[in-house]
Amino acid sequence: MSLLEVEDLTISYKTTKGKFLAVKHLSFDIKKGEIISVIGESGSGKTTMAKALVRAIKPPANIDSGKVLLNGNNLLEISQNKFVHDFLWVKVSYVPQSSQNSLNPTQKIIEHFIDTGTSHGLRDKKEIEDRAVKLLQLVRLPKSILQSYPHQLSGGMKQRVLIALSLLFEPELIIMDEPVTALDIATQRHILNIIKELNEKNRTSIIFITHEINLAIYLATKLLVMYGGELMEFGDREKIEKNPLHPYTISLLSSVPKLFGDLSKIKPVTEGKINSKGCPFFYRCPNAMSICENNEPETYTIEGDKVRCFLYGANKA
Amino acid sequence: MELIRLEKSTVVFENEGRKVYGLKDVNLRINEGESILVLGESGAGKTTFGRVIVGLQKLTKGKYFYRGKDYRKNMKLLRKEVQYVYQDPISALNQSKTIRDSILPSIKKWRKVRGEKLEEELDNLLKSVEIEPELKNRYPYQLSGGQAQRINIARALSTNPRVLVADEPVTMLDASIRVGIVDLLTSLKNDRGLNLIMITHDLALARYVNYRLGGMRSIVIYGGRIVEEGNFSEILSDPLHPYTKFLVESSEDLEGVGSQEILKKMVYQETNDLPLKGCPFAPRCPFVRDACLNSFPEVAENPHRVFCYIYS
Repeated sequence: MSLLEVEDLTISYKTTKGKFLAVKHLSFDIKKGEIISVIGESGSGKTTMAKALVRAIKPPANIDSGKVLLNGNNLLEISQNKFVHDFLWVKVSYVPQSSQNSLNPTQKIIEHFIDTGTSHGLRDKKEIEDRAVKLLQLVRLPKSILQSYPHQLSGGMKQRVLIALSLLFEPELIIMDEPVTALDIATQRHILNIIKELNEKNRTSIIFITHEINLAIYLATKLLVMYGGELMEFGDREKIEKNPLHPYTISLLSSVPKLFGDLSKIKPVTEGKINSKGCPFFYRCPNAMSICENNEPETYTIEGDKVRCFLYGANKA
Repeated sequence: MELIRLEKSTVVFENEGRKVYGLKDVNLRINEGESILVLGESGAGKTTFGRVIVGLQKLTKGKYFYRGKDYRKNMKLLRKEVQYVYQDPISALNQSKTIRDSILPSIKKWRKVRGEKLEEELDNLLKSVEIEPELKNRYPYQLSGGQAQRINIARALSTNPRVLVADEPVTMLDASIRVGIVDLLTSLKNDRGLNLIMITHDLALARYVNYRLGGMRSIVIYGGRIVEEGNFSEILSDPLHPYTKFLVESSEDLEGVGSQEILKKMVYQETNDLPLKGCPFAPRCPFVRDACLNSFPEVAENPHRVFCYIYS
């Protein structure tokens, strides 16, 4: 049974040039204890998708259709009050991109914990503080920083405060948007280890959004590869790493140099724009066929993995 | 022929009353046609290093000679011959100008081209970075990151430079197109005999640059200091300085291999306060000894150059 199921999610933006679809007919699920790395370039819709999971979509963006089912409850249908009170932080937490700026500069760190705690039914400030101290220990920060203001902390420390804060109610699912981007390698490693530990100890499910392929692979049990707002491929990390199916995944994996392996096989993916009519990858795809230009492929299931490409359709050559 | 020589080059920044070394006692010689890799992380001093080379950053102490002449008396030549490619390709361009208007003045000034030839020169320059000349009428916000970085490279080339300092030129680009930009930079180096100074934190990417250009000399920077120097493949296969070991092991571990000799021992510490005395890596180093806290070690050759008391 899935913890979270996203069904046919479509999100649009109103722009001066008309409606633009940021996420198109996206479906995937995450089970307890899984870590899904969402890989995508800028404009792939990964951040918009993440925001939709915690109802953070605001105009000019709009959720046109779809369901987000957490333990069977459609998060998009329940009242805002119920969502904020019973779900956000409690069942699902969100660590936004550039979250280092999302702490309130006029509040000490302890006040962030107290605000979040009291607004979700914890009355005893002492209890909140006790929890905060334990959580800071988990992310290896001294409890003295509870009395600090955000500007007194480094970027990596702020990031870890936010991860600690997101754990206040031990949610079953945490969504992290680029949590280690722009941090130095020691801090990056440190935070990745914390995420792994969390996942192993508490079986917390994690949606980890990144544009760094190596990091995505390092952490994930499953990969969700997005392009132009659509799912390109979704499945077991090891399997995709060894045997990617979608031409985008194949090109992407062979465009990233590694510390080991044959460099002569590394080649960039052709640059190009997103196709808004058929398959979004059409203009850059080495296997593009005429059908791909104006027709949207279905999602095909190949050995348990999902892939959205005509190469795998019934009418494949 | 020597092109660039740094002698005890030092840059000191003041941050809230605290002194920070952007660069400290850096000695380095780069010969004409030679390309190097500068490895290090944000805050290590690599950008300060790059800015010193192009003459954008004054030295607090020490010397910088370009073609044997003190940089301060050589600014005109530096402006022409040493060009910078920035990390953020969009914000590096003038937002209120079309690509054409951004690059033409520089072609006019440095290439001494006039009249009808000017447009032709611009078109050829854009073609050389694989950009269709029609894009010249666009504004920066109308470009993809990859296109913008190619245009930055074209702008840098417009002065007919000898040296390109590329400071994390692909870090902000989508992963799928990064090696395309590296391919462009390395072919430009080969075709024009440029000195490419490639600054990066990404060892896997550095490995690819080294593969394209072959046998590159590399320096590893930490806390404004050069801590290790040698052939890139030697540094990768046999890192000597504990910091370099840490860098290599971190990248290895991402790929699920490696010994983790240092990774297991290294205590995680915030890097906000680097010591002004001694080795900047001392507070995080698992092999720290008293000497490290007091003075920076002399160079040892073992077999390549390293600055660490373990070897001296």
